[in-house]
Amino acid sequence: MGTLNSLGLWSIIGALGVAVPVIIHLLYRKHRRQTDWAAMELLRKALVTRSGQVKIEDLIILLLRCLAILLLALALLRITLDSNSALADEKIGMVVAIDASYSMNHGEFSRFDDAIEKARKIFEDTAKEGDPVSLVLMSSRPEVLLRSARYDPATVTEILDGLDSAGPNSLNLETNIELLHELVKELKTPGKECFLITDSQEMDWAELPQKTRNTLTQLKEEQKANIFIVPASNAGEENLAIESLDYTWGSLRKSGEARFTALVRNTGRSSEEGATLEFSVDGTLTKRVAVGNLAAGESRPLEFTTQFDKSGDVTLQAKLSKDDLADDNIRHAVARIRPGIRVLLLEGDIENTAGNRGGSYYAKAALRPQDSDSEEGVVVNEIDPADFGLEKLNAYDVVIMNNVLKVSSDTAKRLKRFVSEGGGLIVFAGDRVEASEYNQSLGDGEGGEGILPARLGEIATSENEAGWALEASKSGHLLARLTARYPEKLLDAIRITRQIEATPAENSETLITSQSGNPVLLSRSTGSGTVLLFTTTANQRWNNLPREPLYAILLQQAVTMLTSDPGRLQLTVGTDASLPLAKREAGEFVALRTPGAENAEDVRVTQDGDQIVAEVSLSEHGIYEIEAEDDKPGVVVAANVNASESNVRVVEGPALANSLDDTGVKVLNRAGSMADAIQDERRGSELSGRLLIAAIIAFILQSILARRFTNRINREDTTDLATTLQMSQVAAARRS
Amino acid sequence: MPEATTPTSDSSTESSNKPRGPKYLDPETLSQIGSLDVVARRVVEGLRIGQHKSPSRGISSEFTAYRQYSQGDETRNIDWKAYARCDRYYIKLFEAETNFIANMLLDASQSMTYQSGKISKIEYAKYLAACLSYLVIDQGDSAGVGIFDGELQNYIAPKSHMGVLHDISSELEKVNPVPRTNVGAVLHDFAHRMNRRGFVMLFSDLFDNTEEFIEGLNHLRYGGHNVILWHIMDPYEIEFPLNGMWKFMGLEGEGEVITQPGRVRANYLEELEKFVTGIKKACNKVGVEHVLVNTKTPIEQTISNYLLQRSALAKAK
Repeated sequence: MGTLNSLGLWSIIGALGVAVPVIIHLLYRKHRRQTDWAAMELLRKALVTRSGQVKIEDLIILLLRCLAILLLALALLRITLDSNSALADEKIGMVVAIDASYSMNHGEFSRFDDAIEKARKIFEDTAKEGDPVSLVLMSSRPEVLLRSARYDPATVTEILDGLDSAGPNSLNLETNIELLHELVKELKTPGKECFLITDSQEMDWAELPQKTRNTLTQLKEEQKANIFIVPASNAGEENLAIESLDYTWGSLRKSGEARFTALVRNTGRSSEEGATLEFSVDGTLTKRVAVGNLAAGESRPLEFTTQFDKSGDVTLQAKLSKDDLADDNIRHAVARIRPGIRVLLLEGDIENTAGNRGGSYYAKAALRPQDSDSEEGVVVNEIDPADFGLEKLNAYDVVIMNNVLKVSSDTAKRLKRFVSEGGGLIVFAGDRVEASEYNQSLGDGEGGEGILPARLGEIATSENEAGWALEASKSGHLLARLTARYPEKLLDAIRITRQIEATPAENSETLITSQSGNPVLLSRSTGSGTVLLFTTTANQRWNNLPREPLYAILLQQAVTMLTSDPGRLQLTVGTDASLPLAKREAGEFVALRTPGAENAEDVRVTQDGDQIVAEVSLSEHGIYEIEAEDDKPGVVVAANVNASESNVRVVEGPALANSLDDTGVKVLNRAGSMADAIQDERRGSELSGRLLIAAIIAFILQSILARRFTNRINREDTTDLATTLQMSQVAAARRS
Repeated sequence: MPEATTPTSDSSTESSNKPRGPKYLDPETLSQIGSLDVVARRVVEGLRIGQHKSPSRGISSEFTAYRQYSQGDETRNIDWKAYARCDRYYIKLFEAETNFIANMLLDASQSMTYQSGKISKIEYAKYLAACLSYLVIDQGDSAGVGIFDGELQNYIAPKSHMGVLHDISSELEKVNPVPRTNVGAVLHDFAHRMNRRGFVMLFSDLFDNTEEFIEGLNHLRYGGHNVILWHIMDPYEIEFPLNGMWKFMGLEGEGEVITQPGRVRANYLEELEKFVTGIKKACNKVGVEHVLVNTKTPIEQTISNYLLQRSALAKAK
């Protein structure tokens, strides 16, 4: 077939195609009929008049006939104008990519099982021994099983036999298509083919990002590759999934009680009923609830409350009863339960008279409402900011700075290290705060530590005597949610009369704003810790917040969240996590326990900027634990599947083909004749069909023109001139 | 014989398009009947069946005498000038009613042998000449025939007894066509020979030099003859209904032409119309009656149409 593509041979075939009508024309002339003719002079005169037109008409008809024959010949020979077809006998390099996201595990005979069978069929029916092949499992963590390897049926069969299910990862289509582009580029064969065997989930394929479309188009046009989407069989689209398991409310201290919420969503196409959800704490079942009837697309929050009898890391789990997709039926969380919280309070307010108390008074009252000295609970140590250098920060969990005049660079450095290692910092504004000093030492400016959530500006005063009301942002942050759920009437009673203008930093989050539009509370994460900034005072100088219950709620939850945020301990499967470690040195090894593994594995500790971390690859859902050693604390995190992957709705073949039409990608819908469809594409049969239609059109056109030009007549067309003349003579005579 | 995509005669279709009248004999049927005199007799007799006796005394033109008016005579024949002179009614009588001669001139050139159906133009012309001769002799007048190709070959002088019809028929049957006819020269020659005025009926396809032909007609008219030109054409020559690729062989040695008739049909018909119109105009100019005849038309119908036309014209005068 290689020689068939040579220009010379096609030229000969083309010339033969064109010659056929000429030969037919000559034969036709030879097979003319003959007659005697009396009116030769009339005939000759007619010929002289028409000869020029006849020549042009003949030429047009001849050209059309040549075209028809040429197109027919091309259609029959299945030649194509596109060089990435006509591959029937060429050496073909092949990339087969199987969607290995967890949605492929849907169904008893799963989509993944079907994908494996289809891959097996593609290799068996279309690959030739020795041709280069690549085999890829597509997911957020793609795995190349074969890379431009010579095709050996036994090896491929062995690899495919070893694939029993898809992993817990999601599908990052953009990354995977780029990988496929790279793999196709590596193929050095005349023909290239790329097969994507996928369940074509709605979320991935319904609206393909432009970048991915461009990559596919490049594959087709630049790499001249035939790209096939092979939809895996879809036995159904029913599924319930746990989208999240979040800490909602309560104390995460020993003897404390906290509430967690699991959000269950119906990601299928029909309503579901009869499912149950089980909550477990440290492996012990604590609650079982019925999910109830859930319509397609509907979600329902289910809560449970648990009390913590001991301190330390507590694992929590929510599990749905069995359905067609198991991977998203379980969700893990970790709650870090502390024996108590130690707070260092730097009091910058000077006037501590009974009528105008400093912020520390209200803060302490909010954090320790029952004025207890017990170690279990929040212990606040109030100091003068000038004594900050004397304090050992590792003895505290949270530092609160109330109206502190300025922060030296040394103090800023200490605070950054403290926060990076997991500590919490709360900054309250006030009339003594030197905004420029804060910006310089803690802000993002040159030499600044970059931990302050906003750049501070001038002090803004409400023109209205009543002050500005508060508004919660739409953030999913715990403190924002708390404010949003706070009774509207009570929230409206809270007024801010003054605040420092704040311009949020790039990676900060605004949680509460005032009516002026200025942020009131902002959050910024640094390393393992978080910094919260209140742009108003902790006492009643600039607001009436301390008198309201929300003040205590916010401070309590802020301190709890800063010391133990379960959300920060939930990671996503398929990613690499850098787990910050305290009291460790870079280069040493820590023991890591992974889900399902019997023995711990050693992981090397590394330096990541200012932090000491352990790099952990999260390949399974469950609990990952770096074991504590002596006084060196361990780390426990939960890994969960990406909830978005649980949407099992798929784009049907025809719709998929439509959406991919402009990319040149073919969707193989005919499951039974997949090999035929591939062979057809290789031979360019679709183009053959079009050529055939064009040939027929050219043929019909030439027939119409030929008939029109040759003016074929039937009986109705004939005119008896003699009769006409005679009758007209008679009629004329009668009239006269 | 050339084949057309459509039949040249279809009696059922044709009869539906024709006016009511006697049932005509198909020209092809006539050719199977036998000798020309029999055919002529049969055709002419056939024409008379169902017709009322005509007051017309036939083809006549020359005045001879008067007779007194009697009841039943047409008032239009009364000579009012005679009445003015002698105060009596007299009817005009014409010589032709008693002594009328008609010469049939038949073109026997090769082009007349063309036939698309079962009857050629020359055969048709023979029947037509024989029928008209019978018609003339039957009413007591004289008829003769002349056959020409390059020149006037055989000539039977006009006579008024029925026996001459047999001679005419025999002469016509012996006709042997030859190429190239100079109709004009023949007409001049014939005009010189004719020493008595009468009718000259010319049967030809006229595929010759038209100018010379017109001159010949002029010459005849100058001699005081009434000339009737029977322009004989084959239906294929009139309709040109051929399809496909054809090679046309000239009958008069004009060579050959290869073409697709369908491609030039419109132009051919245009040229034909010009040709026929030209001849017709030339005939009108010199007072010659031009009768275009399609050989697929039954002979009785051709004659009947002609007589009808002539009768109408006579009434108009």
